[in-house]
Amino acid sequence: MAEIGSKAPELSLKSHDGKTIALADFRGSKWVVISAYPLAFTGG
Amino acid sequence: MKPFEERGAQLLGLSCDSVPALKVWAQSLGGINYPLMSDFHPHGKASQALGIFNAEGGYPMRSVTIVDPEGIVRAFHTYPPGTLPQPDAVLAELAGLQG
Repeated sequence: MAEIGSKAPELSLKSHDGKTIALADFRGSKWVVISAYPLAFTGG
Repeated sequence: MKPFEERGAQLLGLSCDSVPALKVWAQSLGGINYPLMSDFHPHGKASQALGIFNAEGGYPMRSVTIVDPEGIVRAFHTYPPGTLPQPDAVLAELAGLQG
């Protein structure tokens, strides 16, 4: 479980369009909302 | 996704599906306007770091994590099977956190 007030882990992942997205890309500029789901094609 | 952009936020999807599977899924939905991130390899590494990996199933729990611009986790919710996060509720919480 992510602990409120803790530092988010450094994530860097490929996205569906082949780009690499890192949480650090948004540091200092944007809020980030990570919506995780078990499996694609299964209702979001 | 526009309502999130308007609040200065980036919405990111996260699952353990491969990039090609996510690409086909996005196409099947008629395109998707936010990144669907692939936690396929090393399998579940990001989900584990976020503390949302279901080791038995091999996939992340349905959940929403809100991170502020300083990289601090400000909100975290999980959703039981059969339920989905409601974008309006997530946006309202985001607005509350932003003050």
